[in-house]
This record gives sequence, structure tokens and C-alpha cells, in this order.
Amino acid sequence: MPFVSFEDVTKIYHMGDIEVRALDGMNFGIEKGELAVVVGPSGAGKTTVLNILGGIDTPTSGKIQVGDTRIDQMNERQLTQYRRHNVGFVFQFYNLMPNLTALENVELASQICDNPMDAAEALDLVGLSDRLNNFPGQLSGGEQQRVAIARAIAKNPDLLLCDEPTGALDYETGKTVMELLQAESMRRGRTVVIITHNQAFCPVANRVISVHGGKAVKEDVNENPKSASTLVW
Amino acid sequence: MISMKSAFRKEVLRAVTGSFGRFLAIAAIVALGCGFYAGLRMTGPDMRYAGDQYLAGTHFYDLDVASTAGISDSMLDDIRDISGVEGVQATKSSDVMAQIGENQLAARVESMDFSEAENSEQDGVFSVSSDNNDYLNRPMLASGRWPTSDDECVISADRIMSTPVNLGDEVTLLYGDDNFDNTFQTKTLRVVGTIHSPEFMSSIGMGTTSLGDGTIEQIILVNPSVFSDSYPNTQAYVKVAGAQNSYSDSDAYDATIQPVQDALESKTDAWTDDLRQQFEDQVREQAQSQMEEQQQQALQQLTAQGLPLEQAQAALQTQMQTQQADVQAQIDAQVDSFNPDIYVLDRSHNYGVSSFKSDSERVDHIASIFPLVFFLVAALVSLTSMTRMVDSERPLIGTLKALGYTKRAITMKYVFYAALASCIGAAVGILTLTQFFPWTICRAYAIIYSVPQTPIPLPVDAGLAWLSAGLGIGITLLATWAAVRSTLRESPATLIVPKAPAPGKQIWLERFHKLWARMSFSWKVTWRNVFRYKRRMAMTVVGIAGCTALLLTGFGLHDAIWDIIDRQFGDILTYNVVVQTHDNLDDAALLGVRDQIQDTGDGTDIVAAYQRNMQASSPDHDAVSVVTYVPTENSDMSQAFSLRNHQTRQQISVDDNSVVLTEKAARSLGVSPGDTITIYDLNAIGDPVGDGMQLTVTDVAEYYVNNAVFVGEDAWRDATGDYAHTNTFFSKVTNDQEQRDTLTDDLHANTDVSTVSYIDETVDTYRTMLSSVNTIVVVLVVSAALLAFIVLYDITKINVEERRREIASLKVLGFVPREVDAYIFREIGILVLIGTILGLFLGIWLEGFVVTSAEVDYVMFSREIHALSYVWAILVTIGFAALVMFSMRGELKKVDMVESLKSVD
Repeated sequence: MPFVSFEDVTKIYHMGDIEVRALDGMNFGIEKGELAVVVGPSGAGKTTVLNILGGIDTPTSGKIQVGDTRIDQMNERQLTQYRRHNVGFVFQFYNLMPNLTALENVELASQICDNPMDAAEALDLVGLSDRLNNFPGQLSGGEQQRVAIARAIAKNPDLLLCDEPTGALDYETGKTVMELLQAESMRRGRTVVIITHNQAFCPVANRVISVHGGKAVKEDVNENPKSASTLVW
Repeated sequence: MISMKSAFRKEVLRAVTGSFGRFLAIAAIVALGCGFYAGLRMTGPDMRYAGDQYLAGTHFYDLDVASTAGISDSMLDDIRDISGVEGVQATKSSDVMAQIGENQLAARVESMDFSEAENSEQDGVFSVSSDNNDYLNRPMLASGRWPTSDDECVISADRIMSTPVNLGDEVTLLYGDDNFDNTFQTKTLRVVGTIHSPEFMSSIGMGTTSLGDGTIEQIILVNPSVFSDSYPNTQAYVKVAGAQNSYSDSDAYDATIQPVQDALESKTDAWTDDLRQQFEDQVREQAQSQMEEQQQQALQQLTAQGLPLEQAQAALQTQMQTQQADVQAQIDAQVDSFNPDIYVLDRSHNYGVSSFKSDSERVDHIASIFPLVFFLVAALVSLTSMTRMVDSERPLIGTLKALGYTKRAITMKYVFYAALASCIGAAVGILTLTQFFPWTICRAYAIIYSVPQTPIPLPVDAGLAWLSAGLGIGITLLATWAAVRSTLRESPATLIVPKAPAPGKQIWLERFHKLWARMSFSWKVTWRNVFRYKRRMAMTVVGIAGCTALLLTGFGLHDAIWDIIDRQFGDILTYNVVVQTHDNLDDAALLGVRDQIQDTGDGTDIVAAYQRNMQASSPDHDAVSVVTYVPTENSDMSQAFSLRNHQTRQQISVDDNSVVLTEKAARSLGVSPGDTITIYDLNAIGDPVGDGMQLTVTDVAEYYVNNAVFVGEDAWRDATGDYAHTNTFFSKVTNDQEQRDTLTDDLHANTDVSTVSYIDETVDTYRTMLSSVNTIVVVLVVSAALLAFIVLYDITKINVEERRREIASLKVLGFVPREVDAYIFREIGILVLIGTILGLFLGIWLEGFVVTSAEVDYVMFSREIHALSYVWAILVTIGFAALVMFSMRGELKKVDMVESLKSVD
């Protein structure tokens, strides 16, 4: 039984009279500690996968399991608790609170969960121990994304979800971010799921799930993932 | 510009419907600001307008010629001959103590030709029409009918001081001045109707008199033949042609009146001479006939004794000559002491007219400062709302700019949007509130004045309406222009890139390291957010401060007014009945009254005193009327009046040499202990006479209703050369109603007693009178609520809109709804608290201002605001805030977490 499993998951949006099937029988599984990449073109349904897996949206039908819990049947309150304790989110546009320092942004997350990592320690892990008291406006994009990663991992989540984490970054900084995410899975055994349209990340992943038309069209397991530092795109 | 017109119009329309909440907020605050300003400013003029309509419609006199020696027919002819005089009405009047139903009170009896009333017609609320230009001061029948015989009368329907009078009640004229017995032919009348009279429009006082406690409490209109034939007309009311075409407050009115007034005044000397001549002729004639009669008798006596006629005449000749000289001397002495006074009085001498006018001016005064806070908040709301709107449309502005639209064209969209919102707001606010405020406030004053209410729609003063609309719209447009201008200065390239949220920075609070370190993480966030948007902080703080200030003013006003009753009638006046007697009674008579109070009424703490209505003045200040109290018969004044120093709370006793002035009088006269005041006796029309007497004030005492001066027995003797003679008793009598009724009946039966009044009845009167102020309290509270709602709604809305992304991120991070609410609302909560605290200070000032300007001449409002009022002001403000935040929780709930994934737009 994989750590994360999607079984026949559908998601139908109603836009006026038009019915949009964002997920149309999605099936895949991710083992614990794996770095998984969900890849596909725009409109393939990968963001919907992220939303549902992250507990910010609910499926129309199907079964989703994360660890021992079914999240497809959770109500809003349970989902909030799930996001609070089990999921770490890294956004494409960082979504840091502009009015909080780097340290405080991390604390914002760590203070609400049961078993947090020390905020300063989390920032140290992402190499920002000397920028603790800087506000997001005073940091570069890559630094901001690293703060966002620190914020996500400070919660000690079972699952780290990343939405185009390098999408707004240049090549070099993007690579640093990927190294950090790979380290999370490899060294600390955290399950990391990265949503991207960029095929270049596939070689560093343990598992690559290709989605198209709301379905997982291919699931590749990579026995020997490359180190993120060797990435070229 | 022209080519984009239709697209432009569509764009503006879409902006309105797209952000209806913001549009509404701007419109509402402008409506409140403009409406408050225009409405309050128009209330005073509206009141005066109604008064004017009433006076014009009832053909109220413009000038009143009053004479202490009567108005002769030749004087009336003279008056009629003056050019500009349109109508003249001669009236007999006399002040009496009257028994009406159960009550004994001071009343003015006036003659009236009821056939004129029968021939007139009431049309509209204000007007009584008649063909006769000489029919003035036309009363309106409120109930019953006009009298048809000499034993019938009508009385005022506007009394609130005493229990209601029923049709059919008997009126007995009891006594009056020295000439009372020669004044009336009929002294028992029956009430057949009640009236509203423009001459007596205030139900608090219908004028002053030397009888009773100095206030005329009722008017009795009777046929002229109720008065004796020998009793002359006392008044000639004069209507000036063309005067009613102009507003009675205007210069035009004064200009119309002035020539007639001058002409009348120029005649008073001649009239005085005529009256004196008439008097002299009359006296001489009387003396002559008396002398002739005596001579005739003497002659008869002499001839009866047998003396021949010629001898007798010769014998009397010398006697006659000496007698002639004596009589002449007597006549001269009488004529010398006969000094008729003739006054030419304008409307301002009418108690009702002048107090109505000063009440309306009091409203003007309040109106001058109140609306400021609304305009300030309107400016801030527009500024923040429009800034937010412009910020959210930066990419669009950038695109338009890149496409080559001019700054002016782009600015136009926002200016047009703001103009549309503020114009709608101004129009709605002005149209509704210029009706609502004057109507409500006039209605409150209708408890006191018989001036009919102008039916809605009330006239709207175009000048004021435009001024207020101009201010409201101008402020909004200026704020909008300022918001757009700063954005437009940026280049299209930077505009298309979304504006970064306001960057975080250290706040001054962090310099207090210890404090900051102790603060929990979420409080740090809150504090930083508080200082993140200065403009919004200002708007919230000012808006909430305004709300609290209005509430505190409302509650404080309520305190100020009800304290009068509690303090004056609870703490200060400790007696429960006042019995007034005639002046100069002998000791036995006074003892009789005292015994009645003691025996029939179980009266204790009886204080004998001399009471007199006078006027006090000091250099450089307007005179005030005062009631002078002098303890007599070694009474201890403190048994009836518990006087104390307002600040120190120290008791003040009225010793033999004390002169204790009450607080408001001292303030009006600008005197403090050690200063000297002069007090004067009053003549028939309430003007001071004589040289007055000098008194040196020894203490100033807390006192709320009426002005009074308490003069010690020796101090009074030193000033007047005479000991004061008892004419009043204060006492605490039984509370048993039955026993009281017996006491009242007994005292009324005693011909030495003039009035009996129980303090409970006075308290009730004041309660009724002051309850009108509650209306104003309600208006203030409602306005405060609206202000708070608009500001908080707007600020919360903007907060939520601008932080959708932050809110979405918080939700994704797993914040439970309560925590998300706290993130947004705690900050508003702090601003509300700051605003509330500032509002308390502002409120203390505003309340002081309103209380001082709302204060009536003879009443001192309490200056203290109760602790509970502060508590209520705070609680209600916070309550409003909580309500808004509670209702905005839905907005937060609606923020979709998926927004956190979107690109920054």
C-alpha cells in the first residue's frame, strides 16, 4: 500500500452550463519518502491533483488515501487539521507574509502545529541563517522561495507539496531550490510531491507521474535518480 | 475623449456594479456628512421659519405700546394716524392669582373681542384669516368654543406646568394688584374652550409678573366687559404695513418697523403729558367739586344758623382762599407723584418669541461644529477607497497609458466614479436629512412651544444645500484625484507589473525590546499590520473616535439633563412644599400660616424667608434675573436649601452677613466671591428700576434650576435699610396624598396665602420638558452607529480584498477560521480600541461644547459625565465593531484557497 494513493478520482467543475472534467479517473500511488514529480501540460489536471492532495479542494468522487487516513471524505474542519499538521505547501509565488520577517514567516507556520522544527533551525537548513530578520521585500526571489520551503518543512509534515517551485526563479536559484527539495526526501525521508510542466525535473525524481486529460497516462519509477545539482534545463 | 464616450460610460458603469460595496460606502459617508451638515444647519432656520409663519399667519403684533396709566382713545387715534400703521388693537390686561379647577396660579387676564374670532377662519396650520386688519394676535381654538357671555372664558391649551384643565372648570379671579377690586366686574368665569396663542407660545413661561413665583402660568381671555368700564386699555398692539412680507429676523423687517417705532417713541412724551394733564384735570375736577360741595354745605349751615347769605359768603371768602391754596398743593403733590410710563416694545419683549428665537440659535450653535467629524471621515473613506480601487486597477491603467490615453482621460474614469457616488450620496443625504433633522428637532421643541410644525416637505435652503454638497463632493473628488495622480505618475511599464504589497518594516514598538520580546508572535504580526497602512489607520481611528465621541456626547447630554433633576430636587432643595403669603402680613397672620403647615401638614424644618424676583448685574456683563431669598425669623436656610461648593463639595451656610450667589448666575455675571453685584427691583414689564443695591458675594453655590441669590438678614438690612419681612415658608410636609390635599385646601382657604406648590409637581414638569432632549440623544446614537458601520465596513472590506492572497495562504497553512479571523480582525480591534480611547477625549470636549451651547438661560446643565456613560460609549462602539466584524466573517470564509496558487495580479 503506497503512502499516497489516488483511486478513480474525478473532479467535475461546473462553469455555468459547461461541465469541466478536470480529473477523469485519476489513479496513482506514491511511496513514503519518495520525491515524486507530477508532470503534464497546462490543463492536464495537475493543479487539481495538487489542490485535492493538499486538502484545499475536494474530489467529486474516488478514493484518496494519505498514510492511514482517507482525505476524500473529510469535512472542512478535518481538512483544515490535515493541512495544519500533515502537509507542507510551497507555492510558485512564495506567498510569504510581506509584513513578517523571514523568521516570523516560518514561525507563522510552526506555531500552529504540534511537533514543529525550530524556526531558526529550519532557516538554517535552507541556508538563510543570516537573513532571519529580513522582510520578504528585502530578499531575492530565490531567498524568498527558500523561506517558503523553510516554512513548509518547519511543520515537520508527512507530505511536502510544491507547486511549480522554480517557476518564478532563474536557472541557478531554481537548481538550489530543487537541491533542497531533493535533500528533504533523500536525507529526511519526507514524501515530496512536485507539480510542474517542466520535463527537465524528471531525472531527479524517484517517480514521475505524467498526467493528461485528467488521467495519469504514465507512471515511471526511477531507480537511480540523478542529483539535483547536475540538472540542466 | 469623445470617441471613447460610450465605451467610457460602460467602463464606469461596470466599475460601479463591479464594486458596489465600495460605491455604496462612498455614497453613504458623503450622504451622512452632507446630510448631517445641511440638516443641522437648516434646523435653526427652519424653526425660525415656522415661528415666522406662525406669527405672520396669526397677525402677531410688530410693536406693543404699553402704558402704566392706560391707553386713552386719543392715543389710539394718534397711533392710527402714524403712516405705516396697518392695524391697532387695544387690549385690557391684568395679572391676577386665579383658581382654575384644583390649581391656584398666577395668570394674565386679557380682553378679547370674540366676535372677531367668530368671524375669522383658521386656514392651514399657521394661519387665521379675517377681514379686519385690527384683529391681531389671533388665537386658534384647540378645543371647545369661543365665549359668548361675560361669565365665560378661554384659556391656553399649552400648559404643561399644571394638571390639565377641563372644559367647564370654574375660574375664580382671587386677587391681584392694589387696584384689583376696581379692575373686574366679573370674577367667576367658566372655561368654554382652550386656545393656542402666538402671544404665549412658550409653555415654560408665559411672561413675568410680580405675583406668585414670578411666572405667568396661564392666560385667561375674556370679553372686554369682564373688566370694569373705568379700567382703561393697557396695551395697544400695532401691526406695521408690509412687515410680514419680510422674515422677522431680517434687516428688511427692522427697516420696515423702525420708522413706526420712532414715530411712536417720539409721541410718548406728549402722551405722558396728556395723561398727566388728564389726571390733573380729573383730580382737579374731583377736588373742585368736593370743595364746592363742602362750601355749599358750609353755606347751608351758616344760613341755617340764620346768617344772611351775603354775610355768610363773605365769611367763607377768606376760608375759601386758604382752602383753595391747600387743594392746589394737594393736587400738585398728586400730579407730581403720578408718573405714567409708556413703553414701545418690539417682539423681542415677548417671552415666547424671544426664547423660541434663542432656542433656535442654540441649535445653530451646535450645528456649527458637529458635522466636521463627518466631513473628515468622508475625506478619509474616499481617499482609502479610491486608493484601493486605483491600486487594484494598476495593470489596466498601465495598459491604457501604454495605449496612449492621456492622464486626464484615465483620471476622468475615477473622478467620474467618485463624482457619481458622491453626487448620489449628497443628493440622498441632503434631501432626507434636511427633512429628518429639522422635523425631529422641531417635534422635540413642540413640547415647549405652541409653534405648529411645518408640514413636510420642509423648505430646503438652496445656499446651504449647495455649500454642503459642494463640500462633500469636493472633498471626495480631491481625495480621488490625489489617489489617481500618484499612480499615474509611474511609467506604464512599472504599472503593468503588479504593485508589491506594502513592504514590511520594523515599527517603533520594536524599539522597546523588552516589551516586544514578551509579545506573542501573533501580536507582533498584528502590531506590524496596524502600522503598515497609515492612511487606513487614520481613517479607522478617526471614524471610531468620532463614533465614540458622538455616543459619549449623547449619553453625557442625557446625564447632564437628568442630573439637573436629581441634584436640584434631590440634593439641593430639601423641602417639598413652598407656601407663599402676601407681603407685609402681621406676625399673627404669619404664625397662622406656620401653624397650618405644622399642624395640618405635619410640616417640619419650616424655614421662613423673604422671596423676591429681581435682576442682578455686574459691570461688563448682561444682567440676569434672579430670585432673592432672605431668611427671616432667624430661620436656618440650610433646612430648605442644602447649598454646597460645586468643586470642594463643602457645605455653604447662609449666615447673617452672607451673600450666596448660584453658580450659573455667577458665571453669567463673571463674578466670584469678593466681587460686588447690583440687584434691582423689577417694574411691571420686567425691566429693572431704581438704583439697585450693592451686595458683595461671599460664596458661590452649586445650583441648577433658576438663578438665585441668598442674602443674610444683616446683609439685606445693610443694603436696604430694612429687615426683610417673611412672605414665604419652605417646609417638609407629609407625603400622604390625602393629608396633603387637606393641607392644600386649608391653605387655599386662608386668604393670607397666595400660592402653595409641591416640589413633586415641579419635578414632573421638568421631566416632561427635558424629555425632548432624549430625541437628540437618539439622533446622536444613530448617527454614531452609521458612522461606525460605514468606516468599519469599508476598512474591513479593503483589508480583506487587499489581503486575499495572505488569507488564502493562511488557510492553506492550516489556520482554523478563528485564527484567520484574528489575523485580520485583531488589527482592526486594536485600531478600534485606539479610536475609542481618543474618542473619549474628543467626546469629553464635544459634550462640554454641546452642553454649554444647548443650555437654557435659567438652567445650568451638569458638566459631569457619569462613569457609566463612558462604559456605555465604549461598549456600544465595541459592539458596533464586533457586529461589523461578525458580519464580515462570511467574506473571509469566501476567500478561496486556490487564490494562493494564482500568479500575483
